[in-house]
Amino acid sequence: MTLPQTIVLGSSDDAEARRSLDEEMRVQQALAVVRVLPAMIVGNSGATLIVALNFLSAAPSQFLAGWLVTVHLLLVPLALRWWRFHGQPAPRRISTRHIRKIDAWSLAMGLVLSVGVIYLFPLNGATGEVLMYLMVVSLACGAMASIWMVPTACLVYAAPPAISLAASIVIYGGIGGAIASLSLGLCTIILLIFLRINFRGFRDGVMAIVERDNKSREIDRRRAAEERLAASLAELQKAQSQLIVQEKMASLGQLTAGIAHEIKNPLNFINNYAEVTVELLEELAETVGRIAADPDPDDKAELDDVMASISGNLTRISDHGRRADSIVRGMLLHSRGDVGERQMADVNDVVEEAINLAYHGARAQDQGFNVTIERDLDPRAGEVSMLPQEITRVLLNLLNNAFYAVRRRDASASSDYNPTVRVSTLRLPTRLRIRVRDNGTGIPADVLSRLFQPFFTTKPAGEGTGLGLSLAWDIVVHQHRGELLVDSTPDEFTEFNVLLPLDGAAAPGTGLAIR
Amino acid sequence: MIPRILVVDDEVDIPDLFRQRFRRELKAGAVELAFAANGLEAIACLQAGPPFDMILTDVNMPELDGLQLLDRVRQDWPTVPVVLVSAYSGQTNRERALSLGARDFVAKPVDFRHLKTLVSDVSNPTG
Repeated sequence: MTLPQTIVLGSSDDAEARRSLDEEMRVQQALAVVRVLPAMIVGNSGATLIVALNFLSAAPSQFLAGWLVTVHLLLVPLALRWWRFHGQPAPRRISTRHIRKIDAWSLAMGLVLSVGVIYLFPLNGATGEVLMYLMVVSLACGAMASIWMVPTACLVYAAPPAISLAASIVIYGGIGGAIASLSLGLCTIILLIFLRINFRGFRDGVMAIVERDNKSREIDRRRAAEERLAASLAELQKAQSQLIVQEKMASLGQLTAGIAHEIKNPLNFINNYAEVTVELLEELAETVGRIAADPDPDDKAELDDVMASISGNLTRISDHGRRADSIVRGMLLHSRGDVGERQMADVNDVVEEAINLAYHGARAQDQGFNVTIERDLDPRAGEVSMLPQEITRVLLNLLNNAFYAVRRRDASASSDYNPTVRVSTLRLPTRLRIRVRDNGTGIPADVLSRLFQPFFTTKPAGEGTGLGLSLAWDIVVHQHRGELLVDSTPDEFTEFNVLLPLDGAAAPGTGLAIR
Repeated sequence: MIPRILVVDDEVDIPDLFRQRFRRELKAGAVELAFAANGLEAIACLQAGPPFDMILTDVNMPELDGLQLLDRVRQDWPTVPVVLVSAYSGQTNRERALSLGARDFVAKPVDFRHLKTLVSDVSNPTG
């Protein structure tokens, strides 16, 4: 049990501090019941024995001593309690040290009183000396019990002597009986007063102990539960990050084919321009040889032509090399785990890149896939502060879903169905809107409400992780403080609107992703 | 007979690359090249005539892609061989292209030596 080490009273928190201290003291008192129980048993038994022996010896002085001891056992605790709680000026600072100091004084006072009673009414002979020592022990135990201010302890301690006194009335009668009766009456009155004063405090104390034990057990339970929860959370977070990586890898896998297609085009030029340049250099050498031998205006013209071609080819090789490099860099950005850097990015460029990647990715998966992509890009869209890779990821997801929807409808629709995905950008006064609308299968109302839930997917097993739209939601709403809205009518259309705030400062900085 | 080849691709550098790679043949008058940026332009060229001896077409293009063009050519100009050029190499794609009636399937980056062989086969069918 730990009392508050120092409580300063007089501040604005006085009432609260006092309540806390009172409760703590009640707890201390109730706990003392348990602590002094052995002392009570020993002391009570000793006192009972002494009183019984005094009755047997029938010596009036010793009988009086027995009576005084009994009364003392009741009076001392009461007096000490009164002295401790009412006789002291209210200290400004109450500390455990202060309380212990009072306890020490109480103990000393109880012992002095007890020893004083014994010396006032000495017992005779060897038996008397033994009884004296027993009485000292019992009184010390009684004083301890009283010092802890435990009413039940005092009650238990005092009851047997009272019973002994009652027995003396039956056995001896006369003056002894009268004194004993008086003692009993006095004891009973004092006990009643004592109980009246202490019962409430004791009950509250026990309640406080029970409550605190419950609290303590509850805290232990909670702590254990929290530890389990923390372990589960760590597991879940690990699983979540693995799933997010899987989702990214899955979308990267979809993109890889598209990227491969993209990269092969510049490679086609690089390889062929390099080869044709080698051929041109061979021709150049031949022409230079001819000019050296016999200068001819036609050769000079051919020389100029070849030189111009070589120069142009090398420029094209360089351009297409850079193009391939840019594609590879883009792919690496998408495969990276982090969210990239917030920067001002041209919205229409980001949208175009996403359309290209998504389209080629879809075509790579299904060469027969055909879709009309309509672009309506607002020339005023301009630049917006964003995490471009993340927004590209969102658009790829929306476009892939759109392609999936039109492909499904195409499989079951009549021949005049024209799969169309329309992508538009629009600069609004405070926000920028990117809209992806398809004329695919649409989304039923019950699915619509669960669309952004993690792991929710309507795609067959293995085709979707169910994380795509939930990640998109996280990117738009949490990372960009934007909005992701969906509207759909089954067998007619699905429309997603990404709304990004134009004020970049309103959005959180880099690294606030859930990843 | 000078073989007329229609090259269909949306890459802007394609006409220049073809002209350079076939420069000797062009200079010698051994081949004639025409270019279209997508399937629709290609059909316009085919309709405008004179007839082509071969069509080299990319697969991924806006408006009308290579496979759609192949389908259309098979219907309206069934004698004109079509060679598909695609970055999507792989046996499945190749087989699919051939099953749809393509003369050949050439993967990017294009091997022009192989392409020239195909052109030469067209101009000398027996050889």
